[in-house]
Amino acid sequence: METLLEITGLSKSFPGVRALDSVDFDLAEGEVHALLGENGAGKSTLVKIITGAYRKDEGVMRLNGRAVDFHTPSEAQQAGIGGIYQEFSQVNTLTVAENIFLGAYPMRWFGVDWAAINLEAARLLERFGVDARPTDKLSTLGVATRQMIEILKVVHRKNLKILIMDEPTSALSDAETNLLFEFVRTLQSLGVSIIYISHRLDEIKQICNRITVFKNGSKVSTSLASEMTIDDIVTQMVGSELKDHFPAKSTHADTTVLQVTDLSGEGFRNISFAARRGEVLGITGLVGSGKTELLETIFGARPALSGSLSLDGRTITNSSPMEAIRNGIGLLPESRKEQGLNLVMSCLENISLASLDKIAHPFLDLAEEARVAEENFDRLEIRPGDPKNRVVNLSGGNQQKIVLAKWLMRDANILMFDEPTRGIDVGAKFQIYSLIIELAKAGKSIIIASSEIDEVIGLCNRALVLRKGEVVKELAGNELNSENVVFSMSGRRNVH
Amino acid sequence: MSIKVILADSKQQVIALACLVAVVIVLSFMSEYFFTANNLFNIGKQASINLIIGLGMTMVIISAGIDLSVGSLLALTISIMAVLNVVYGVNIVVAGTLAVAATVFAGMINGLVIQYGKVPAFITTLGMMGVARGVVLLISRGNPSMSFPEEFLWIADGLVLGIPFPIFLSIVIAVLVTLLLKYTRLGRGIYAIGGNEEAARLSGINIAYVRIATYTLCGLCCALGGIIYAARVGAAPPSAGIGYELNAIAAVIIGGTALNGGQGKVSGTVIGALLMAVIANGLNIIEVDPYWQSIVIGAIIVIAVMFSNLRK
Repeated sequence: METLLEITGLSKSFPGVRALDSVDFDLAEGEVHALLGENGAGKSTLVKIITGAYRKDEGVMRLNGRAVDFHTPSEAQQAGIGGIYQEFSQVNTLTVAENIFLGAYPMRWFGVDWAAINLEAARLLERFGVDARPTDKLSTLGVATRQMIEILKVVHRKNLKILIMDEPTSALSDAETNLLFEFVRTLQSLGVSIIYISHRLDEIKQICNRITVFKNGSKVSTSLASEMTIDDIVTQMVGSELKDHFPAKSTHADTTVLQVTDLSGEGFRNISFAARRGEVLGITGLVGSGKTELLETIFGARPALSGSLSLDGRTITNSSPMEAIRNGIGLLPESRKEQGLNLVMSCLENISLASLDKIAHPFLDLAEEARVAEENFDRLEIRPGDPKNRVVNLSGGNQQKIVLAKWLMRDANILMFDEPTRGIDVGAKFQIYSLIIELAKAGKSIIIASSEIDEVIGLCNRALVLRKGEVVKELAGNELNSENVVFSMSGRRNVH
Repeated sequence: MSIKVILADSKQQVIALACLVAVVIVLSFMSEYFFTANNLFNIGKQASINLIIGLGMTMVIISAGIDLSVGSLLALTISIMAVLNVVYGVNIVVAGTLAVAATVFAGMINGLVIQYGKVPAFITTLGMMGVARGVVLLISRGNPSMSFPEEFLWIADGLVLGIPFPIFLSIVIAVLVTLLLKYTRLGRGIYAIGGNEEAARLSGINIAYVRIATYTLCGLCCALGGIIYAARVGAAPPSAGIGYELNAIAAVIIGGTALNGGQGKVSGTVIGALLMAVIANGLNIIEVDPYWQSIVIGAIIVIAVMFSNLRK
């Protein structure tokens, strides 16, 4: 295969961060090339330079042997480079066809040639087996379908040479993932090269030809996917052998702290359980099973329809997050950027946000704030290590640690994690797992809502399985294994 | 914090300050009269009303809101005070206090409607702008001839610690707002709901309290601005304060506070208000057609924002 894209000595810095340090990279025609690395390792920066979203500081980039330097994303698009990203760039109020052709509407006389757009869109949808009509409003479609349409938008550019896929399967079911992989192979056979970013290592083994691993802004290695085991990959990403992916479980399960009785709310019904001191309780289930809604209702962020909560035997109401926090409960929400963090504030201000009453006497004691917030900041080994940095510059794993530090500063007794490691790299994951166990051992009670079965089995003492908003199974001890969880989650008998 | 960090943190305030210094230097060379104590006090007095309102607007904009009703609220204070004092013979101090209280209440209504009525700030305060102006016209019957007692006019010209009272008052308010934003839970809450309201709510910030307090305080600033205005003019024209919302927003924006909320500084608004007053005063002194003022200030607003966005 011929080399399509060749990069040598590429560097890029941001204030306080060396994001890429003299990186070499090459992409062959028609190959699927995985970029791996922890968050903040430099993958996204490399991709953003290739797609023209960032300018490089140093280095040479050659496309078909010709040196290129894209100033804007549209220049990169002209050269045949397109991408689909974690955050979709779609207009939900427009139709499928309008979105596919967004920015490149074919013109006829003085107007857009709508007939041609709808016809061409219908042809694309049919060819790639996407279940939607050209005239459907995007807002009426599911996430998976919208993602396929996002891909079609890139595909319809006829000169597409390089497609960048950033975590394309994070919102997809297994069946949809398979469909997507078929589609990737079709593209490959047409000579399109694909740069593939994902945290799902088994997936990468399945679909990629070569793997390049990044760490701290430098390249660690490039090798054939067939020659690497998942353990090899993890070792290279983390830099040291990760024998056990989970720390030893907490063994202290003690008295009941929080008792939930017959709680109903939007998305779930009649849920009862107890959270105990020193215990990690899992709540798992498929997407849409009501996990998030349940946690947010306990936290007072959504109204409860019926049922009751009691804390240490005393009935509480939690009609707002404010009240829940006063009752010693903390929530690490599902989407960090939208719900967990104030991106324009510093790390320090984010950490103290839930504890302002503690540092107000009655005026805010900024020195005390800095001291206490920094203690928690340092405790979680957040990088880069300046607490006055804005959180917007941190990687996903470090951002999650900021949210956790907020509740450590608050000294919450009950910590609820909603998808604690979504979009977080392996190294940071292990750190967060260790912290969760450490907190449980120190007498906190932990509730984890997660759709990652490994996580639930590896961390939790006990787990509730939800299906369609109801508890279908409570598992503990030896019963808490993947077969039982998968069986209860899906309601099917034999799952392999 | 090193100088470098402070500079990086207040880039736009520094740019605005540099503009202000440059304009002052140029005008000092163009006119001997410009850099005299007398004229500088004049500029300060001219800037004071816009600055006081701008300080309220700063808090509102940091909270990711907007208040279009400030000009009408200013007129509301003046008219209520005038009607009570002139028509009903109420003591000027009592009349002023009641007028301020009524205006603060109107600001609170803004906050209540935005918070509990779920009406966007732009619409709510646009409505209040009309309603308050209507009340002004209604109670004053469009009568501009009401005038205030002689002693009241001290507020416009009296000296405190050697500086004119309007300047003194705006300095005091600027200091108080700075302290409030930096050292109180309310202040931190204003930044928090402006940066990410949902994250603030899930961190236990009392959103309703913060929002209502912000608009109420903005109402208080308008009322104090109204008292100064009344003393300077000595009468109660029902058209007082028309267009002031745009001046206040301009001062805030020139000072580097972003319209999408979560960030901003009092120092910026002070610089912004001074820059606007210096330009108005300077163009006047060097005998440029006064219509140029609004052209120059309009251009500065756009250039200031352009600068900050291009540097990102």
